[in-house]
Amino acid sequence: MNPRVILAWQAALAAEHRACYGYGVLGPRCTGAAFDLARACAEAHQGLRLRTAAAIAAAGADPVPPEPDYPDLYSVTDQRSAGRLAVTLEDGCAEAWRYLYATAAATASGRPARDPAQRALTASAVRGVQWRPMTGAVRLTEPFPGIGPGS
Amino acid sequence: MDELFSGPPAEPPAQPRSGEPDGDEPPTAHKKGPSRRTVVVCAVLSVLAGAGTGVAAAVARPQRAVRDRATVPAPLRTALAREYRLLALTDRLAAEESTLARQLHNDHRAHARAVEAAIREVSAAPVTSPTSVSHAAPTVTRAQVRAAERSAAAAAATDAARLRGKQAALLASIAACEAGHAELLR
Repeated sequence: MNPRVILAWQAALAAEHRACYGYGVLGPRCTGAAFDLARACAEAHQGLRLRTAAAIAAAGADPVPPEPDYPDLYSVTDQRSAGRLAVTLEDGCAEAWRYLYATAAATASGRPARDPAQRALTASAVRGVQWRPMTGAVRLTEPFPGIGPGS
Repeated sequence: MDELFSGPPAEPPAQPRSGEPDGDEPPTAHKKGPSRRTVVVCAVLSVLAGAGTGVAAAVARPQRAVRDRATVPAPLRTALAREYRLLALTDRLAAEESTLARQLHNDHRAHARAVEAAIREVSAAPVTSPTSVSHAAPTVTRAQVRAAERSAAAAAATDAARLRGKQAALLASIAACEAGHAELLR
């Protein structure tokens, strides 16, 4: 596999590690529907993280490990700030998956990465839309997930 | 291929200096003035030559348009048409959905502009925009717009897969946005 595509896979995995950690931080601040959403998102990211690591290993590279800590994720104090963090995490994942898509689209050998990148990018965009109403945000959508100012 | 049509104009042939023979003609040929018949023939020929240039230009113009259409990747053309269809559809959402409709409208407008910009990067042909939707058009339901957004998301992802480079990445992002719209319309 193209080394640049592998690096982009690694960046996507790093974003998924961060999202998994972040949902662990924000989940306990949520109740009701927000808690259910946080749990569903955490499960989705954990599954994606496993599949991403497996894809990297299958390409002959060592999957990047998670950071020992993510101090910038501890600003959550209530459900609204939990929602804001969730949006930030999803925007970060969208950016990483879109980067993989763009890198893969630049080379013929990257084609196999495009479908999983598209699905993961779309899933993060959809989760971002699910969280935004809980943050009090006026704008509920991002016109260019992975590219826009939110990313 | 563009350079074949937009290269610098050919340099005009060098004019012989006044009084200097211009090569093939015998040095005495200019001494005798042109006959009236020669003048008439030359005038007719120059008119025909001018007309011929016009015909050639007229023929070349459609060829250039065809070439420009061929240069624009089909997935970009279909993506632009799809964005304009979605714009027209979201503008027909019921009045009580005006806030939502405005957000969707703004996103699709941004998508259309981005796709138009991508088209302009590969083609000099003007990008045609459809006329705006009539306000007399019947309203549509959330469910109808949602179905259209879902379908558009899938189509944009398919179109993205047929492209390369940043064009592909642009449509991939648009596909993700439209899936988000469908979610918002649940």
